[in-house]
Amino acid sequence: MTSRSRALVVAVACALLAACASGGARTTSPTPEGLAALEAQRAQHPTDPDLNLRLARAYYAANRFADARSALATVLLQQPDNRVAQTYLGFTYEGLEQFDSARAVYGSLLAVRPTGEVSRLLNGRLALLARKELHATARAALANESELARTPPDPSTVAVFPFRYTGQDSALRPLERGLAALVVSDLSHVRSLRLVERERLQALLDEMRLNVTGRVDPTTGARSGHLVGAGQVVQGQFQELPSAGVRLDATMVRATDASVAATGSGREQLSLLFDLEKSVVFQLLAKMGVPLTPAESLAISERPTRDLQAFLLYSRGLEAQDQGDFAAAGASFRAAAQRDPSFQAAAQQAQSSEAAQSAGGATESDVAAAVGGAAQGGTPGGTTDALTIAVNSTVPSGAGILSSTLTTTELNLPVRNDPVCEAAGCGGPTQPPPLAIGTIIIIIKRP
Amino acid sequence: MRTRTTLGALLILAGPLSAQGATALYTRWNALSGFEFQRYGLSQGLGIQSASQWSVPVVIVAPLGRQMSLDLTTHFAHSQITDSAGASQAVSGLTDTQLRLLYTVGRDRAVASLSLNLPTGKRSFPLTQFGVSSAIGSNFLSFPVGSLGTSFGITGGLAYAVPAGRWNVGLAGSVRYQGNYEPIQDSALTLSYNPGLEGRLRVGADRVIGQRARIVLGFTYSSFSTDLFSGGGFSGQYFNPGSRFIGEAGYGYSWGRTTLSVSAWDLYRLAGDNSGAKNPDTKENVLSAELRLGRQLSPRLVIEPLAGFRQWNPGGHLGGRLYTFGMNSRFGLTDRLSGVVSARFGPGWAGPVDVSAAGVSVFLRYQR
Repeated sequence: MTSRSRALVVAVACALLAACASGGARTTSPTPEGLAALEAQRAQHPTDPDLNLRLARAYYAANRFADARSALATVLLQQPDNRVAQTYLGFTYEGLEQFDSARAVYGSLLAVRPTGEVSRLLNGRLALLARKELHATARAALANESELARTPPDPSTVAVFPFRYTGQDSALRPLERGLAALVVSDLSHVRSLRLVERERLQALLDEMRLNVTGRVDPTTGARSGHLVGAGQVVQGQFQELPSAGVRLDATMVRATDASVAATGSGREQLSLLFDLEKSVVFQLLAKMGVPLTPAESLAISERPTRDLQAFLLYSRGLEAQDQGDFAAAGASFRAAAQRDPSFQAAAQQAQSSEAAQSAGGATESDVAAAVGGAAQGGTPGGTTDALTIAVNSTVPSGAGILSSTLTTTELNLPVRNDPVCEAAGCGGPTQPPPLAIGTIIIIIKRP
Repeated sequence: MRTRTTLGALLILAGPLSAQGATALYTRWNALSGFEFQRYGLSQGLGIQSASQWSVPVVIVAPLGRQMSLDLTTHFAHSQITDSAGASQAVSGLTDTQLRLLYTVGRDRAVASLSLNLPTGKRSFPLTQFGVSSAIGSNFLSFPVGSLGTSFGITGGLAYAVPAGRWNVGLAGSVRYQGNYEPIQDSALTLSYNPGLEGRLRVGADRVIGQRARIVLGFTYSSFSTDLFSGGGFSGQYFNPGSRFIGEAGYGYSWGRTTLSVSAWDLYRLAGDNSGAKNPDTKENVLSAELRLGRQLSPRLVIEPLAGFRQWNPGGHLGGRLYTFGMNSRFGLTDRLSGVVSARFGPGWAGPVDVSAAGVSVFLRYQR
């Protein structure tokens, strides 16, 4: 790591200490006078890239995203490889709630193989972006609820509510989300069903601000199904029983009329929670009349972990993640993965939450500086340019002329896929055109 | 080419991209075509008064999923020489077509490539037209289309790039096989030419210097196995091409809306031998350098005056030199359509004669 990027990482780490829990920490907003002064300067130098970048950052901090985007356009037209401007463009798209575009910008920044720290920040930003997008989608669905209610949801799409815990041991409450995640994972193995992501439904429930009872009410289930386009909704509850037992009940509700399509229930020792959950899932599928192939049955029977404690830690991680506490989520997921190294979902979530935590704690300036600093530190375009030149030099093609760099093709270097004069004769105009048979071999061009 | 990066920025600004997260080298559809004309006039002394070529390139690049891309390149070209008596010989038609598949292994670190040369171009010519082939194949004159057609060929390659401190280092290698063909169209003569394998190895590096400058370096080595001839009284004859070495360097420095670019390459080829007899004529060195000064006049228009120099030192003949002056204009018509217009001219000499060079080109590129 260069000293410069090390300093940037330290700066980001410092920012993490003041981490904002729910999303990216924001750059300090400029004063109206400061903004006006920058605008006046830009009026004098309308295409100055440095000035436009400063103005874009100021607009962004003032939540004037459309103006920021316009200023960034000016910068990028002149400095297409300006990583700081590209990073701010991603932020600006987030502000404009153009999430696909923001994701595309971050994806393109990641595609140039930035350093580990920058990659982590960008991946974290993507994780935060996904969360923002889910909530924005949920808000939009609620705003258009009357219209969505008229659209029949896809009967093969299933949403799974968090299970309601009706017992007294608060330590088990995180299993509400863990069990839902498990059911989603199981049902996703059935090819005839399409599953709504757990996080998507959770975002909707957060926006609906449902109380606990609402999460097992069939009417609420049907309403939510319409909002996420699911024709069927799984709702359920669980509670501990005497002698370390646990009871689990689940209902499959049709979103069209809130009728109950299937039910499943069972009781087992807590240590056999996974067996109980599988049993309930198989009951639901059987009562719904969903035929299962042997492969699907086998896949559903797979346990992501056999360690109940690891699963509880994982469930705590999901709870913290849903609350936007990525530090706590990361710690729980990491602990789950450490207890059971084969628990892949926990390891993946740990990585994602830790990245989100990094990005959430860093200001936009930190992220942009880290991305820009890495580019200046010797990886402009990452290794992409080096790779492109290497490919085009050894296996040439006309695509080489699309390159943006000082490539051999741009240098008009004769390494094209056309014949290179091989034998003496085709060296140029100082040799007369050979007409005699004896000179034929000197003008045959080698492919 | 700056048009690409400008267009890339425009595309980012335009909205969602379909290739998000893709690791392929070319993640967007591209189509490029245009018109290119190049002419060299020669004073009395070599029996040729001009050599010229116009061509229309067609390049299409298509991403295939997240890790692959396919590109196709072909030209329609017309090449002509006029001798000192005013008689012309011309060769025209479609060139061979190159179809190349690139597969990115991992995340933008390694690329495996497979290229097919489809023999869509004319490859057999009467002896009277070989003068045209000789002229357009010259490394010194460096016409955009060096030949019309050969035979089916296949090239496999691997490239790898890795950051090394402040540098990005690229390593690549390829092997090309080409089928045999009959280059001569003559009822009295049947000559079959079987080109040998070609292997290329390349190492390149690039880095940013400070905040405004960038440097690119490269070195390519090519080695060839024996070319065989048969028929037409040439049976048993062969040619061992000399190895080829190419060094290249580029430096760019930007300040404000101005970019200065200096680039150079040098091609050096060792002498080959014809059926065991060393052929000094096959040895050559070509050095080329160019200086460009790009200035952005508006967000979608860059002009770029340039000056170039090329020195040719062949083994068995007098060499040549060319000076080039010209202007590139790079422009964006829409967010997806951009272009380059170039004009060049310059004086020089080749052996005992004076040379005057002129060329214009217009390229349009569509990207989505």
